[in-house]
Amino acid sequence: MWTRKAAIMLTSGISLILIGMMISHFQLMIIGLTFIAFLVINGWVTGHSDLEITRNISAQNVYKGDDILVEVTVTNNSYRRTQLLELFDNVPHEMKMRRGINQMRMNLGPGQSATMRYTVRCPLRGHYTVGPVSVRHRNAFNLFVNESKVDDRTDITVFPQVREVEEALLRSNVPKMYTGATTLKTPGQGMEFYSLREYLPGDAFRMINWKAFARTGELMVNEKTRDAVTDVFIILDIRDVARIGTVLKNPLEMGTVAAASIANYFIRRRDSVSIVTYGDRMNYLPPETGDKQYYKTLSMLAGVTSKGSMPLQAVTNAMSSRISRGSPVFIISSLEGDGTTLPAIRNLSGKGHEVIVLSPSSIDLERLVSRIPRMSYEVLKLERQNRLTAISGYGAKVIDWMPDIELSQALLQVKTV
Amino acid sequence: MAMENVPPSQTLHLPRLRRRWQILFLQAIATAALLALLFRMTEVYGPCDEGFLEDGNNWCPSYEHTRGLMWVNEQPSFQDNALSGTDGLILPRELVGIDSTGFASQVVPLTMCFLLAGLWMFYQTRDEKVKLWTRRGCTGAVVLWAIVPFILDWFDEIGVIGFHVPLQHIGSLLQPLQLAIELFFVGIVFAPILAGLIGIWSLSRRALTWAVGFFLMIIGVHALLTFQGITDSVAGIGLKPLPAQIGEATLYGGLISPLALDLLGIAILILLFHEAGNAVIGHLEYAVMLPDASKSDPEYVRQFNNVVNSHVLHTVSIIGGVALTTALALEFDALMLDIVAIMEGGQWSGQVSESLELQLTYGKVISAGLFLLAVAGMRYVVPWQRVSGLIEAGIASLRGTRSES
Repeated sequence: MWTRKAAIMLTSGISLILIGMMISHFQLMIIGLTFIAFLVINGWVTGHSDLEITRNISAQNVYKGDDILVEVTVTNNSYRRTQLLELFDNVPHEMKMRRGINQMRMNLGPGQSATMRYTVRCPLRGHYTVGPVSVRHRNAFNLFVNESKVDDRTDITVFPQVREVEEALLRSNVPKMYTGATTLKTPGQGMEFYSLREYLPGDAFRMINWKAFARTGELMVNEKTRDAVTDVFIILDIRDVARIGTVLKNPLEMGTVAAASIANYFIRRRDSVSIVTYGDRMNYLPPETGDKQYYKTLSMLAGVTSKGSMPLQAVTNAMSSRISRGSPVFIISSLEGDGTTLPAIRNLSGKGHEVIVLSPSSIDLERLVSRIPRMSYEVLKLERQNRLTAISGYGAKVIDWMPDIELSQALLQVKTV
Repeated sequence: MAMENVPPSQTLHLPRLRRRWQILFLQAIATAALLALLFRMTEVYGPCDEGFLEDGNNWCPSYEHTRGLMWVNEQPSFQDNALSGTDGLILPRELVGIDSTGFASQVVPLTMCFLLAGLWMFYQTRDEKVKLWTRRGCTGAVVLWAIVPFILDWFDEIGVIGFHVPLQHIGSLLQPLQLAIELFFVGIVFAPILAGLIGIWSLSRRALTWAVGFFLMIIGVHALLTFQGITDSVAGIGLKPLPAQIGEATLYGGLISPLALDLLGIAILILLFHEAGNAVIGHLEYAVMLPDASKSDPEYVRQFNNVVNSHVLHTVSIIGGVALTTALALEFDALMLDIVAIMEGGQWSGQVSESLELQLTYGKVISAGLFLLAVAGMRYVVPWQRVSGLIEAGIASLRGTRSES
């Protein structure tokens, strides 16, 4: 493709030649011819080379606030120089450049390669894609340009941050009924040895007891005892109102951090954790334990965005048959704009669930971005306090989570009637 | 990020880059082209028509500054200025080279241009406060210089004859006007040089474009003022027109005629000045845009060197190629005539070979256009880049084998 400079040069060249011919002035004609000859000679060194581009990143799954090192290697596989080659790796605008830069100018001879390195920080959770790589070939005088995109993309998942809450949960007024896994004397998924039995098709190879095989000459597998675990339910509010506040500090962001941290704590104790999000619709991750469930939980939380206005009672009604009897339920919500909060929590408490409400203070979060008159603030704050008191009156443990308070500190402030 | 270290002198920080030989080479090329352009332009567009001068005229609007200054010198209204002294000029005669001719008349103004460009660079690197006070100081000095002689004259006269309307001292206010006229005549020749030097060394694209535009404007104005339609209706301009025919190719083994060499030289020098000057700015802009970590990244440094080395090579080879191609294109009509002459006997070939049109502008341009078209088509015949790439790969492998052995 011709650049603007080339087009101007061609137009000027032709104009000068024509004017020169009109007024019989050789100088104008020669300048015009020189301009066109310049384009002609440069036309010999246009076009693009055969490039191979590969991208390596230090991690595909990271936690919010972590850095990723990206290395893009370009190799010229053709028998021609690339001329001026500009490389631009498309990075999502949510990521911040920490070191280096995602573009490079190079000139590669046949078979040569170059590596562009840069580090980006991921300040926002979510699912992102780095790439494609934009490639621009120019000739030395910027007359001809050839732009293309190499569709090499790398997916990155930025998980919400996981805070250490073990000590806070132990010290807080949250009931200590979740004792982690307890061993039952029946075979099943667990950690402790139960018995040896013969190998059956479908058994995992890692279950084979090789010593027993060596001794008996028959394939034997280890059976484990079944672990009994508590099912912990975490209900996260991702409605439209959860975006009140700044990009980094809002009920949704605080809620995802809390949900991830609480889930991490219980999964490490080998309890089963279920996550329910509700916004425009309800998403339900059934209770499971183990690393896989932890990864699923973080992936689910990484992708949540605030939208919709589903009432909490619709969620609790839908979930009532699935929540195991006596299971603790964590509700993470700002409790704004939902008239069904009280009956929903009342129902859950009434069914014997331990309900813990972790409520980011949306009024204080709103103050971070807009000026609220003092009187209005006091009134809103009072309304909120009344709502929280009413909820705790139904037997729920309520935590009023202020924006400047760490999660572990907030968990220590359980309010009960 | 594990990286090998780059010596501090090799990093892409601006102060270091400005001392890099490739950058200095491009700047030197651009400066040399600019100076050569000045000399070539004054040589081709400087002289007035001999007949016009013989008629007793001293000044014509040619690309030369001393005649204009002499005209100012001779104006009676400027003779009485307090600062003009006995020679009638405000600018010192040595500074403008009015008493010399040819190259000698340009040496001191050129030196001043270099000095002013250096001062401009120095000024540009100062902080805003210094710049503000410099601007205020200069404006104040000019205003004082323009008004104080007038006020002193008037007050002095008030002491002698009492208060009066200062009509007889109004001449003192002509000083700034005279200086402006003198600067105008010097500036016609040296303003593009000053702008070009500022563009090259103070890294200003606008100044480079302005200088090129100015040269093209001079050529355009000259072309218009020497066009027969104009000279017929407006007598007495006195510019020396370029010859109507380009002449016989007698230089470099019949490659180019002396006039064509002069004119082609001007075109090539304009191109060289503009491209080399802009290249420096483009490369330095890229380096400045890089963050500190990348400026010391060996890969970035290596690729920057590759790009700049390649640019230097292209500047030399492509501009050389353009000069040769244009020269060949201008003589392509002669080749065509020779081919026609070979086909002797035909009435048509005889007519064509005797055609004056073919030797004048139309024939030259059409044949040159055909030649350029053929050259442009060569890219589809010979894959130049692949050929050069193969040679480069071969040399690289030879070097590799040699270093291994």
